[in-house]
Amino acid sequence: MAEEIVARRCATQDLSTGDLARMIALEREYRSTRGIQPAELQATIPVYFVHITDGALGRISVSQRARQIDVLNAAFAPAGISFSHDEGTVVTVDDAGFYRMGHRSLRERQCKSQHQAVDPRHGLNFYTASPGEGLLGWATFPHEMEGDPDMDGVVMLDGTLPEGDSPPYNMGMTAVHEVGHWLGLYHTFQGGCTPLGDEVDDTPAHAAPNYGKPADSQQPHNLCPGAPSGSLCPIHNYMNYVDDDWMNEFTTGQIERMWTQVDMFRPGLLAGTAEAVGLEAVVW
Amino acid sequence: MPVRALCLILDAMVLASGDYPVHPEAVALAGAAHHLQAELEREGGATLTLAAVRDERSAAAVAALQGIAEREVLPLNVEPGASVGLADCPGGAEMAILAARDGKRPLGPGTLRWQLGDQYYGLAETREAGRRLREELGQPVPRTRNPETITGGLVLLPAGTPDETLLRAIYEQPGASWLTLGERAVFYTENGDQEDRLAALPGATRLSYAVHRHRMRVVEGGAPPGAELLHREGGQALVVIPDATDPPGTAWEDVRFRTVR
Repeated sequence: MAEEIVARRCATQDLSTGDLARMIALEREYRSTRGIQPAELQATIPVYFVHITDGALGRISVSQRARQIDVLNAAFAPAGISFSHDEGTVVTVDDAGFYRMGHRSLRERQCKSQHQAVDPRHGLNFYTASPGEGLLGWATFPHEMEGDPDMDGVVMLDGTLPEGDSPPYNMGMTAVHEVGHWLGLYHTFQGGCTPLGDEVDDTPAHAAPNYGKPADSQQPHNLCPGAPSGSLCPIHNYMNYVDDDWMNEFTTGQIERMWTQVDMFRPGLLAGTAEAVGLEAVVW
Repeated sequence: MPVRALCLILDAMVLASGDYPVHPEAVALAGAAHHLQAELEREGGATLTLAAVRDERSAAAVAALQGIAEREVLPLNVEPGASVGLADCPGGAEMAILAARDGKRPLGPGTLRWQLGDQYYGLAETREAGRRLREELGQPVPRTRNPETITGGLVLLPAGTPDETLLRAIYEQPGASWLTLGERAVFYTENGDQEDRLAALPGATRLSYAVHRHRMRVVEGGAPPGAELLHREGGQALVVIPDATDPPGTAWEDVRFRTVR
């Protein structure tokens, strides 16, 4: 496997950051030539929590972190991906301004630039804050890391962690959803009914997000008219917007895409790679 | 397929239809595009251009939009019925999207149509424009709460509030909206700062700090049983209803940007 990864690393270097049009072709070529077999792959991703607080607001307990890791591990187990966490690495930043950072705001950049906890090539920077405006969380994509490593990671509304105060979004599934993005997945409704959708073959295109608990008995919901016969709207997929207790699946195609994206853009996460061998996650 | 450089084109009838110098939906689209444009310039990763079809029907609306917008709206001189598309946009754009009210105008190569109100192949609501533009550009999109659970503030503006004040507010917050009951506009916004600014206008009245947009209805006469009266003007009342399977009256979304008497 190590030899194959060396070959892939060249492809990574050839790909300019954000070159999305080329990325699709490259990914297809990569899959056909590598013949990636996700079932044979395993990776453990170290998670570094960075809790932004405003006094007592935003504090996260040991139990919440442990349960969040459990939720991530359960969700990503079918993909062979697990998550680890060391309580000794938890960072708390008491800053009222950063606590309310908006998506892709100057505050977000300042906060991440000052408080990134781990080299993003080797671990996940998991920020919690309270962004407001109905936002539950966001992530950066793998292809963005090389060109903008400071911003890499996921940002979560603090109340979305298990035991949090944001029902029905307090079962830790926002983190599953955002880590899905961080590993290269788009929303299942990406692009609505126009090709190529989420660039995964086994998630039928649907027009827009589903919210709440859409009934299985009322399929196909907002499935696109051109969907293959018998398709169902992916109302239980982690990459949709349904309630936390309604999400429970990644498809095989999504798992393949995650591995391909990791192998192309986050090779340092793969156990056994040259980057990871003998190298604990590099903590700043 | 996500692209690195996108051109959003507003068709003539998106700009010119309605009761205002420029249609509020066109202003919302422009606001969403320009906010994302500013973010992309700051954060990098992609580029976005906003253009507007200028013909004899839309020339005044394009000028009005340019007066409201804080960034460039590129005018495209296109004859009615002529095709429009990527070739009309500045060099470097990889794809164009035409926001249109119908499917009549032919599209040039490399161009996608967003028909407003079409939930499958268009744009069901202009408030989704920011998300959809991000998707086309391969930009991260935050997970959001169920819109039906989100509340906003409601402000009754004084009679004679200039159209420009309303349109600028929509440009600033593309998810905001208003309707006019009689002579006064009722403005809904999910941004607390904007709500406070509007409520501070002379003669303005705050009707609610937290109202569910999806539960607001306009009904004739008074509030039906179980509904909360927000405002009454003439024979029309704006009310909030509890969850109901057969709600009375007309939904806010169906009368927004219109005058009800």
